Amino acid sequence: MRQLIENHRVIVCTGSGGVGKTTLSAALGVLAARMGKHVLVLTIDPARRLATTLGIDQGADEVWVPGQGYAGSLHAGMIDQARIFAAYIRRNATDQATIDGLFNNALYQQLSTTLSGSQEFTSLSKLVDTASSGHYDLVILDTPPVAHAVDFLHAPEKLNAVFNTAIISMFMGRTRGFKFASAAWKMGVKMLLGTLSFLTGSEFVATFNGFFSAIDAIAPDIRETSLKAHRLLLDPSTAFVLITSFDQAKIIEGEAFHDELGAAGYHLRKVIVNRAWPTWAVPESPQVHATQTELRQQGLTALADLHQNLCRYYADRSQAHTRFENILKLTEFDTEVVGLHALEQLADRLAQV
Amino acid sequence: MLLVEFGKRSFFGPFLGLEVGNDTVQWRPRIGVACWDVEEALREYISHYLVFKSAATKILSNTVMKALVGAAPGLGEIAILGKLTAPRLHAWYKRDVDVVVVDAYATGQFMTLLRAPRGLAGTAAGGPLHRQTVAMTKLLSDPKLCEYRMVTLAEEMPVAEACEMFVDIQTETGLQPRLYCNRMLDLPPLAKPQSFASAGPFLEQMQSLATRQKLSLKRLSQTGAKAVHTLPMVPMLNVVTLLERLADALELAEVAQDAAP
Repeated sequence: MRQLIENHRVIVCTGSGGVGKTTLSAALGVLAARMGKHVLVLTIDPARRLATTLGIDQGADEVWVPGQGYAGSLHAGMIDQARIFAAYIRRNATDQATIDGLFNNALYQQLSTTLSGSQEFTSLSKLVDTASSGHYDLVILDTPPVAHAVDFLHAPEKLNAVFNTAIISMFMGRTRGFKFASAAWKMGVKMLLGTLSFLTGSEFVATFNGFFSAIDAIAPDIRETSLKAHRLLLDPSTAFVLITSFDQAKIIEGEAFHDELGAAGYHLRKVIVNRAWPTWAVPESPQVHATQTELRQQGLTALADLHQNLCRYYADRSQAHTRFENILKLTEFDTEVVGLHALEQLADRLAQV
Repeated sequence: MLLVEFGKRSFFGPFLGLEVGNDTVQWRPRIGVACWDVEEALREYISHYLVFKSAATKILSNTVMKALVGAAPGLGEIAILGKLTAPRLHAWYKRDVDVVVVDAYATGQFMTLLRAPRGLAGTAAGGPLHRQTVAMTKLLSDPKLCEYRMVTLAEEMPVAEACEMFVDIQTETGLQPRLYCNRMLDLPPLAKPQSFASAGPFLEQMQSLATRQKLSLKRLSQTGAKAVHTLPMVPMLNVVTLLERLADALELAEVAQDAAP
């Protein structure tokens, strides 16, 4: 793990829900800071687990994690999509009319508060900004569970598709192709907009139109940011770490995601099976047998049976079939990993492998 | 009943040994499973209203549809919730099931999903989309039609999130979710770890687990939930046994819920 930290400037932690991505991201951050790196652990999980794990203020944007005394420094960042989106527009819009046009649009107002859609973009924008800010040697990104992580990883191409293909042209009233193709396009657009008006109402289509007209003014910047993000994610200095567990369904989900990462050209550097087994249930360890014997000798049959059942369960789980090679297996902690002290202990374990 | 998950990739497919996709597949008699995808849901809906189906197929080509879903804020959520609520909102939409059980997204993403109809309704004062999103919001808040069940673990972070989400769901829908604490280990009387040479670490963890389980249930009950139900940890890999054991526990929970003051 030390090598992984040493050789990369961005580490993206991905995996299924409930496997401990946030905790491991934070522990990797602690390890990196101990190694002398100035590190930011950034989360795009709207559940804000990172704040709970590190015991920091949930409302903060980028904070120095209190209580640390490392050779480097550990910072944590949560993405406030409304604030980042608004700052991005202010920074990139060339005139006040564009800013007002967007801020006053009903769709934008909902987009920055209740609706999804801007989260992937704001996350990409934040990642690009922090990775290139010069403030940090390493940015560790904690992603949402696989299904939403896929959305995030495809966000750059999705954004490019929006501004390069039919949709923006349709709402902006631009034609595509020449002569017959152009006439066919116009007819198709008319029909689709008619259907959309019928389905959604003309007011909604007008709001949509207003939104795209306003955002079109900063479209080149959005394209530029998404291209930068795409390049950064594909860069060999960006490592992907896949975190999974010994549950068969999660391993299958992880394998499919692994294939997807490979096909997209991302660099998957490590697969971690988190909470593989507790320290007292390491398969084939002499302690398993010794614990059994001692409990039975003391007449604690119910506890001995429980221990036996659990050890069998963990041993069976560890036999789960997987295509992954060189898996890093982390034993489960006896206590919960919350707070800097517990994260330091987990970082110790990561440092040993 | 129909068991539904959202997204392109199915969890239940590999879990139950089925090929699960947009169309329902039977797992057991009277139990169907499906995985609903946003683009397919949207295509199904728009196609119904388009007069020229072949032109619709062209216009709704994959690239355009992907871009539309990517571009339009909240559209993905509305497409999925629209499909879920369609039999109640449109006479033309038929779904021959008594109950739909949705395996929804995790905390943050679920709240985004749940808030989407209200969010979109706020973008226009009238029109079909406004009417439909308002109707969706009502359906999702109707205790006769819809209920929410939250499942958490006896661990600090999941419990904290569950408590927060319990409030969020109530605020958004006015409905109180049922609370379940999953993977609760049924512990026999414990012995003091200090008196054991080899069994100490095991006993220590069991003690810490007992404390954590107790504290978690206490924190969950402080939400004001009518009852907090426990689901057992089933330390075996056989899917059918696992599901049957959980179904037994759920049945007991139903009785407890009804008996709760």
